[in-house]
Amino acid sequence: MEAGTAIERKDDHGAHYTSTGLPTVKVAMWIFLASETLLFGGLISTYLLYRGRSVVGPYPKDVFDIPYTSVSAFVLLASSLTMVLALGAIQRGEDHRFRIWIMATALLGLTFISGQIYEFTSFFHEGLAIDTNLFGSTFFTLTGFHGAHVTVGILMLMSLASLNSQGRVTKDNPIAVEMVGLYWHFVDIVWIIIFTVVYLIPTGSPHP
Amino acid sequence: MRRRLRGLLGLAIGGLVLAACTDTLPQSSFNSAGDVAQQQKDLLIPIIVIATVIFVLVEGALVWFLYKYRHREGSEPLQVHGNSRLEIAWTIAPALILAIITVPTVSMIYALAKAPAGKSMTVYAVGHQWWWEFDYPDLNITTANELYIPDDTQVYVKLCAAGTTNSGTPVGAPCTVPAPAVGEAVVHSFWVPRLAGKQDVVPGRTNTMTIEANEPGVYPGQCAEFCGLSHAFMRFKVIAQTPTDFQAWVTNQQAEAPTPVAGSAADGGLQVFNTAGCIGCHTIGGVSEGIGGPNLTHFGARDCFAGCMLSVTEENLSKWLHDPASVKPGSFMPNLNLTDDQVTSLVAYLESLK
Amino acid sequence: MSGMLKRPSATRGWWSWATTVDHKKIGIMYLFSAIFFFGVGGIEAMFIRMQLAGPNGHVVSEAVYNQIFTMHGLTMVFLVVMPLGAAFANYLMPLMVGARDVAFPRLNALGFWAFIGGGILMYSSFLLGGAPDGGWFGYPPNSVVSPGNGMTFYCLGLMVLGTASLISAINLATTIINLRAPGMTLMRMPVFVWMTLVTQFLLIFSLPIITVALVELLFDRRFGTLFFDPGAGGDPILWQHLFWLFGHPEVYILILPAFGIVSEVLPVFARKPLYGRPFVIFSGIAIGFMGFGVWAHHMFTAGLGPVANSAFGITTMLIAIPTGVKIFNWLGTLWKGDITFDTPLLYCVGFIALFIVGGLSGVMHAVVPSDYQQSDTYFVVAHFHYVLFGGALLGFIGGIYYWFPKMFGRMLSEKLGKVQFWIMFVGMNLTFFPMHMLGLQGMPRRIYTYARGMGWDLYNLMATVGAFMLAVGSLVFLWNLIVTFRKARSAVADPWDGRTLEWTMSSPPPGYNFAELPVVHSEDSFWHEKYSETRDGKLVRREPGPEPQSDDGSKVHMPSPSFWPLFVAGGVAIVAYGVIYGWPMVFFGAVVFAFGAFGWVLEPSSEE
Repeated sequence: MEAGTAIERKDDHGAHYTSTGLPTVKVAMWIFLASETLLFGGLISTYLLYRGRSVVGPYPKDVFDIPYTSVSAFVLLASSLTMVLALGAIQRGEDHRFRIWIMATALLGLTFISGQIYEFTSFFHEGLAIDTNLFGSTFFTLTGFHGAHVTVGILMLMSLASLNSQGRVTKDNPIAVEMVGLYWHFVDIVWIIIFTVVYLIPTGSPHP
Repeated sequence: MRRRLRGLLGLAIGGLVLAACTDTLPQSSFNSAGDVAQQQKDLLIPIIVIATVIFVLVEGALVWFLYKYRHREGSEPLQVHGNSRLEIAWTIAPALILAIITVPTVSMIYALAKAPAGKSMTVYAVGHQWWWEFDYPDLNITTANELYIPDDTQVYVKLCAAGTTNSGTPVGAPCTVPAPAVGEAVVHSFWVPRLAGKQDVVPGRTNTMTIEANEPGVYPGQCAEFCGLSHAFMRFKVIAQTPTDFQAWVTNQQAEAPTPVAGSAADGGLQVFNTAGCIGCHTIGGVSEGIGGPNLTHFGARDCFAGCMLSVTEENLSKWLHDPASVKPGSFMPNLNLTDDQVTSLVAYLESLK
Repeated sequence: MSGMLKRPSATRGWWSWATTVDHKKIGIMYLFSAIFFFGVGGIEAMFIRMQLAGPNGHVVSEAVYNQIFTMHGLTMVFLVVMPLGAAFANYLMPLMVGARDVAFPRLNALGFWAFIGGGILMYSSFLLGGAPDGGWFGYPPNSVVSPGNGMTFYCLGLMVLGTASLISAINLATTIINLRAPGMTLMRMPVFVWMTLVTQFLLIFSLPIITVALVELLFDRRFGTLFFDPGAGGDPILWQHLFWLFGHPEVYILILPAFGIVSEVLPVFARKPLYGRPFVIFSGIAIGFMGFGVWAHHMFTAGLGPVANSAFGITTMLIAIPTGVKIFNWLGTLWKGDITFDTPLLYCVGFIALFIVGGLSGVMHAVVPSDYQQSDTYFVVAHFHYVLFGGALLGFIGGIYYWFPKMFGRMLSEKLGKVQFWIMFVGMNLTFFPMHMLGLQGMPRRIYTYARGMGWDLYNLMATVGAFMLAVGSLVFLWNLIVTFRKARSAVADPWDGRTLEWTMSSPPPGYNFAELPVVHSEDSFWHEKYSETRDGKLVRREPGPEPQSDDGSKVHMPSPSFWPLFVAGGVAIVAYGVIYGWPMVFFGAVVFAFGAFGWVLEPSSEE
């Protein structure tokens, strides 16, 4: 990943000149994440608006296993910690440690995804598919999009490890790690919201 | 210059008001014949006048500046950057005009949203692909294409969309019995401009509106929300009558279908009706209980059919009965492969259903 | 592998265009694509008008008509006006802010090629079983149940186009925020750049919402989900909310760049500054924010209830204020100016004249109870064609005439330009003014035909005649392009006595834009290098004239071309087709995409 472009100017000290003082990639990543909030906002809103409107079951209380999902949420949360450690490592030039922490992040992400696959398969066996009822449609679409985002993140994390081995991502050029980190934390925060809104908050209507 | 401007303005406004007040077209919102349409028009006309004034003044200024400040030998542009006070003033002025317009607007929104007070009658208008069903729940009448109303009563219209959804679920309640496989449930819009503005007909919701006619007459309308292949042919008529005439109509509608004379062509048509498959969809009072198609009990008293796309003539009925989809693309009425004789006698039967 | 990774280096020929990452070339490609699609959308319009010229028409079948009016709307919005905005934003914005290119040149190319992919996807549907036929607004349940693949192409095409626009928007916004020349504070940026900035943020926040809607529609069609199925608890109104939450900001996306163009052109041809520049900028920003608060005015007849209808009626009235006030600012710019009637000015004046009409009919829509009569009729068709054709399109044509010499080193013919203008101006009014009356006289939208005896015959015929005039005007434009491109390059750097930085460069500019990055001291910085003002507002030419740009860019290193953006865009398109034609194709497309992404990341950077 090109960490900055040849378009950027250098000031007298050789550092990149930008109008805001922020690295250009960072500005772009924040703007991209802003658009992603609207994407997930739309999917979460659909879920919320359709809560309690399914005409047939299974309903959330029939399939949810909160303790199980809490564990997988914790796994994803832990991966944000390892991400921070990875960033710290590369900023200190500790390449080996960096690779360990970044692969740990990827592994925790993979664990999360595996947990989701297991969870969705068991829902399916209990009779909940994406076309069964509104709950199935909204739930699987929302969590599916989130899972796709996590998967793309895992691919990027693994790529960072490889790029570090090739010497393309280093202490002198760590911006890619920071950018993937921002993305990863964002995906984690979205999961916190989904977990709270979808799993934890009870519906209170006849068909939860 | 000012005199010319005033003259132009007067001409424009006069012309528009004249056009609006002398409109005689059958489906025109300016040819208002009912209280709701009248209110909506009375709100719009002053605003059109205001808009015309603004139009003439602003466009006039544009043309004037282009003329006066065109480049000539020695002309010099004035390097001015703006005037905050002026700009604030010309922001506040339109805001005030709009604020003034907002008051009657909001007030009328609420007034039109209320169910009618005083004397009223409830009717269900059900949007099918691509025809209108009209039910009178309190009078036990079901009909299609033509909505008869008395001219001294507010009519509270409840709007439902009927048909099958993507998952195969029939919808149409509470207005009608949901029927599988006769049309898809899509969004329509009920619009009879001379009597009232439109309201959409949304599957899964029951929107409502009020219409009232000032005097007897025929008020055409049509679907105003794109609903598929034959959207253009989903038409209807509102027929307002004096209370006496309306009562006569009600009495006739509530009666069962007239029995044709034995051995007549119409009788032959009744036999075809009973055996060719029509009774699955079509209800005729005392003869059949179909669901999904228009009620035909007093078909012979109607002027139009097939979603008011065609007028009731032997030729039109013949063409239709032979192959509905060739007349009206996408029609869900099947081609029953009727012979010419069957069609002729069916036509006779339908026309006998006065 | 390393051989494949070597970056292409063509500077001439079609391969140089296919691999370019130069914002100017990309802008030109957007421009010509938009002009091409305008021809296609125009032909669709001609079919509509011929079908409606008289009652009970049979020019095409009902099924074909529904495809034609759907594609006409989709084409004009997504394949003509949006790319025109992108063309000007791409070409001009870096020049105007003093940058050498946008922040991410390869991403810029990807945005363009994905746009082309989306256009091809949409139009290939005609050959693959039928084009989308559910209207550009795609209301379910009709859009869910519509048989065939047409509306599936609608979902996929718009998702690809939306992704392309989003990528581009992030790129352009980042460039404006972070890569301005030293001294170019935000308030010193040209108004066109400001309008572009607001437009990009509108895209960034609205595109994800329609993406959600399209996903839900696609899933309902393809995977049996129940988002819009009223039998299962779904609500077709949800689509309307999601679509218009995008759809309303979208119309500001369409018009703001044209506002920007008019704000640049008028001062040049009146030879005085834009009147009330800060107000024009702030009203643009206000429109950006308020544009997200009016969406349900497209749903006044949907039955949302008096509270919602009143609230949105009020917000719609409010948004008329910043929109309308700009007109006064433009009038103020012309006032006491020294106006020359070159073709660019004519178009911008035409813009103002016609936008006023469209704006006033828009205010009439805000009168909610009367909108119950106006909604879904030809009155609405009149309104939006006045603002989009009379407004946006005329503004863009003016922009083409104005910046053509800069882009191509030649001036378009003034004579042909003026002929085109008058034909289009008269034709436009003849086509669309009668539609106001048709709507109020009871003619709904999107109808295949109408009955005799409704009283609509004359106005429909007039509209059809006007449409033919517009076709003739378009052909005049085409002729002007052809004739002009046959001429040799002859334009000077500053043919119009311009105000902004792009006029400091040669026509066309060198690849690297600026040999030395400018340092900016004021708004309209180039103008202030040429002129000063006396206290009583007279212009004084400075002596000597500004130094011509040194063309020695030998020390400037620009990003090399790349074919990976084309590759990645191809992968996206293949994935989209795969959603219709099967998982193996999706998988193949994903592999192409991933291969392209890795090639992109791993290719040598331009410094090598």
